[in-house]
Amino acid sequence: MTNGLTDPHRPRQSRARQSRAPKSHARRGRALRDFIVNVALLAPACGFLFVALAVPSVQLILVSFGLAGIGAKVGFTVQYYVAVWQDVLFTSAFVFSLRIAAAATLISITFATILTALLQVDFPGRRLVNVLCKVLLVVPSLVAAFMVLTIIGPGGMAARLLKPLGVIWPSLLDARSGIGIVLVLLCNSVPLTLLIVPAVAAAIPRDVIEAARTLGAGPGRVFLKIMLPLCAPGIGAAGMLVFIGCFGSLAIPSLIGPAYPRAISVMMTNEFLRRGNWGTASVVGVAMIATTAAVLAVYHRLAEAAGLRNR
Amino acid sequence: MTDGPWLELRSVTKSFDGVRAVEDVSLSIERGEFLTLLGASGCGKSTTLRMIAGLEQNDGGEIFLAGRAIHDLPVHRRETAMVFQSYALFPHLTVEQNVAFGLEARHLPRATIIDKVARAIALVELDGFGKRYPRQLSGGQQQRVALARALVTEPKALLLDEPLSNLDAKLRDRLRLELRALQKSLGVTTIYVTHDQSEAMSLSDRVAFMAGGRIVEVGAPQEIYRRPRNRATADFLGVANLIEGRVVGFDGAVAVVETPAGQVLADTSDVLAMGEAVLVCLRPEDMALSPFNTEAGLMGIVTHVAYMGALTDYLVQTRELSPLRLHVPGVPQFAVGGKVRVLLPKMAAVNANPKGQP
Repeated sequence: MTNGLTDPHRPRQSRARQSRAPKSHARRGRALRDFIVNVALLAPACGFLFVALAVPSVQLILVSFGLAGIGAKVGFTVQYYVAVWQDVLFTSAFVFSLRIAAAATLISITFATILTALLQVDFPGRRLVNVLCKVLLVVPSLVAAFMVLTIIGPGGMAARLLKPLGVIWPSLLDARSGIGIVLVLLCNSVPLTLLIVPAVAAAIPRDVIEAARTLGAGPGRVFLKIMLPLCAPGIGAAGMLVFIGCFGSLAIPSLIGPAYPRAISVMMTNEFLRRGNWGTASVVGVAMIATTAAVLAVYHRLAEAAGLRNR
Repeated sequence: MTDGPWLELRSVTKSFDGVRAVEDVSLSIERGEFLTLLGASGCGKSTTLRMIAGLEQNDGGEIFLAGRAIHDLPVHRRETAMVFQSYALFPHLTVEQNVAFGLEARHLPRATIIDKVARAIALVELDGFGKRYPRQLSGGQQQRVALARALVTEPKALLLDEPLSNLDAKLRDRLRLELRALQKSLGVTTIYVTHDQSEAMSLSDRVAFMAGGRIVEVGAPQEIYRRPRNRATADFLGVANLIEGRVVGFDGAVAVVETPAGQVLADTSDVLAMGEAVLVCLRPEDMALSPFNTEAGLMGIVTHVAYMGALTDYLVQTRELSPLRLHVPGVPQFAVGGKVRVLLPKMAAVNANPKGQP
């Protein structure tokens, strides 16, 4: 039989508990201090994100449901969503914006990828080509639009060159296909992709490329089998940036876009600037955010898979 | 088939921005031979290897492989394969796909590729690792994959650029043995680049020592270690105590060299003349230490002792010579500050190029 006085383990246990208690207290103190330091360090960036992104997004979502409305009766409703969903102008605008963004993205990354492949070969004027392709990046998009208009616009350079040949230059500016918009958007999106994709290609270790060459792979095979897969995350990132930029682009579609279908950004602007319909505009805004978020999510899934493989 | 050397470099030169990296390098390598380009960093050994592979274009000279001039061929047509220090595995491909890469580039039938890949993976003892990605392998395993990937293409010359440098000492030792055994069994002509003299000595049929962009000396490992013909070679290969001397006579066909420490017989392939100034190379393992109270040897004081396991490294200051390094087998017998006698070998490496010009 044992009791508190005779049990030899008892005092030892309590001593252990006594020595553990201050240790765990100190550990908790350290953890709290670390937490405060981390929060303080993150506060500027997180604060900016909160003010610039989270607050407007929440406001947008609330307004789209009739809450926190601006100059309207406040009360939860899905009527704006129903109205937008049933509005053929919205669906056509959504599809139109998706189409021009997808076209600009595909053309940009294809062009950038091909040029990256060509830049692997040492040819005279290689650096000049590289620089020229990026020059447009410093040209503001409206100026770029004007430059393109002087070529493809009615009475532009192309029309005047073809006129003596009896060929009538098609009107690209208000074309429903959005070809004019895409051409102007490319002025900025191609240089952007050309900034990213060759840089990613240049980051591939030189000896990996050299190993492929010594194993008997010609330049084409090296590019297709080694460089392209290793550049895939970079190409994806460039494509995503171009897509998001083009999908939400306002200035170019409102300047040279057709009356129907309009780009989704133009539709949204019209809704709140001309009609004062903040609820509908917010729903369109939510749809735009949801679309770019979906694109971002898909990109991250793909990049994660590729990144894990390429590490 | 070729009657001459399997791989031949004739007066190959290479400059980078006006700086000569490789100067008039001529080298002949026989089929199946294992030759090591040895030298300090920046001596031009890797550039020479890269010129053979075609990764650098030589400014002058010619390179022949299997009787064919290859210096103007693009890299992928040279039929060489290179293993890099960083392994340079393709990170997005599995082990099998990495090994198959060179075979696919040659458009071999699928069944042949599968068979060859399996055999190559088995050869480097990586069975069961075929579906893994490089990131899932250890450094040693990655280097084996790089080796399999190079060997599977049956290159006319296997080029290895410091392939073991990134591995720890123990693994490096093991892979060194495996690499040599593999090279011998396959009979592949191999050029190996390293700055590690023990690696060069243990692996090679011949060692080409390079310095200042030139080949200073070529020979079998034992030959260039025991009888270096140049001060730079003697200095770079292991530890060398270099003493200036003069030929004072001949004992039969062997020259007698007078040094500040006494006379030694010249172990050299150089033709020496009476009165000629020479450099005597005393290897630390060729000398011995004895207690101070013995008669023979130079008197000296031990200034440094380092126990290195199999041997003890001593630094002994003598009156006649600059401090001598000695490697004596076993545990330390003498302490720092102790008086000793240094016993010189009867015969020592002597070369007729005391200034050490390559």
